[in-house]
Amino acid sequence: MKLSRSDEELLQMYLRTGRTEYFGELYDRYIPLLYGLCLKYLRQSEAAEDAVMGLFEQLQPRIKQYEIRVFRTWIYSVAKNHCLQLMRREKPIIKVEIKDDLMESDPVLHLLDEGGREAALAECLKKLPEPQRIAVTLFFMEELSYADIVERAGYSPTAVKSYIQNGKRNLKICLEKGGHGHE
Amino acid sequence: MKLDSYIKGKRHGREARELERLAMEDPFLAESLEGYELARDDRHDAALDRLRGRIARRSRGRRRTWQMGVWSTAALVLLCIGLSAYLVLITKPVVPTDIAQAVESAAGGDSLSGHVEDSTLQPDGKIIAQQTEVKKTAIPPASKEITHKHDNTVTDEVIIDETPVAVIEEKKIVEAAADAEVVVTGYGTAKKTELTGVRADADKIAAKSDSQETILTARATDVKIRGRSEKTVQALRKQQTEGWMADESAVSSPAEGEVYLIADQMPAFRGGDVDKFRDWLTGKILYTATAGADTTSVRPVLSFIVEKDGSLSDVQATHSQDELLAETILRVVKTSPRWTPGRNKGLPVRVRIIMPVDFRQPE
Repeated sequence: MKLSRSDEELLQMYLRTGRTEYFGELYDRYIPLLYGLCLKYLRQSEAAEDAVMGLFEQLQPRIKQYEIRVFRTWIYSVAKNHCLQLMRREKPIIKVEIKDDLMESDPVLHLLDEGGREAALAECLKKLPEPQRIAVTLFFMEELSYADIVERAGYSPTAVKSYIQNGKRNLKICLEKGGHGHE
Repeated sequence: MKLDSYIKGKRHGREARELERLAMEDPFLAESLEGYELARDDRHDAALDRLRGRIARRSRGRRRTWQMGVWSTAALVLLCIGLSAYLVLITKPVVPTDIAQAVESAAGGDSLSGHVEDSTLQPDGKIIAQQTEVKKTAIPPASKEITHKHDNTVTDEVIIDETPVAVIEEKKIVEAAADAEVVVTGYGTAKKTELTGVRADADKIAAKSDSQETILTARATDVKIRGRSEKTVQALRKQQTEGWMADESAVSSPAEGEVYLIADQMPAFRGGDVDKFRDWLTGKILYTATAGADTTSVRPVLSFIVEKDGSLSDVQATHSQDELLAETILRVVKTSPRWTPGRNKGLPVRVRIIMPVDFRQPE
């Protein structure tokens, strides 16, 4: 197997040698993520494809000028900007959610993953509305995928997602109160 | 790759669940999955294969142009020096100053004709011709055009900073020609030929400086080097870093102390007040409403705290019917250069600024 290099190593190699293969290899890793991201904003596969390609063309000669610490976060924000910009030009009325707190890691998630505070967690789980409790349990404890949960519990795909999301939020609120169940 | 099979529809089982779990803490992945979800019927894997092919073709065996520039310039200079030295050697007996002249004229380039005397004049014509060409590529007014474009624009200009200007500075030509003016602004890859041209000229001048001081001054004045682009670049770069710093410290600085709405001395932005900041902000956003949109409702109210160190925190945009606009404003505000903090009794304090942001609709 070929030794796989980190993103940052590849980037350094590109900057040092100027060989575009390195940047191509690096960018290639992100094609599926970037394409999906652009799909979210542009909604059409051709537009998304062009956006991913256009971004590559724009970045390749200029990348040297940016100070990039973590390529992944950097390309994410650059690509998002790029697509927002395209979207603004072409279809000015699409709603965008503003999620500023996305980068934070969520302590409740880790609690659900790794356990800990079992009593409090169990107490709080009990207090969740039933669909939320089922969805959360299936996802975190039984480690089923969304699609698996759809089959098992019979909820719609969008419902599964929102049950998990809301369940997570409610758990967090409950756990912050100490999980004693006193409202 | 897990994402690939997920895209192809393998949504069941451990791997799919693992990806979904990752997405909960990874906004990049989350948004990407959302995208695939939203446009579900399309044949994404075909598109991805196509993209991979295109990227691979575009990056196969090509070298970066700036590197090519260095080598070809170096080769050209060497060739010229060699040729002129040869001409001098066969036409005249060797006298030390002649070698210097030979080098100087050689560095001037295009002395292939063998007219050593004339060729010292020729380069100037050439340089000046090139200079006008370069002028056309000066920073476009469109640089402030759109929301996030400022990122790109800044870097567009920085490219020059690192090529010709840097070379000129190294050889101390800038001082020699304080009143001169060559505009070495340019942008984008499309201009690489011009850039290489400028750099070659800079190298030529630089080579002259090594051989003969007096001629250098004369030449340099003819060639006219103006510091403008360099300053612009520096200013923009400074602005950029300050923007970043403000952004980071907004996250990490301990935001302690009361927040005032009014202070003895209100925070200042680039020596001006809130209006100055509004101009800066709206200058970075091109807002075009869709036909028939109710433009009166598009008047977001922006609110943020100017911290004691001049960074901004708690940035919010409200009252906007247009969420995209609100988000755009937030983005741009986060790249703001530092403010001068407000003061009460001489001590810096935190001040909340609340301001409506008006977008005049282009008719």
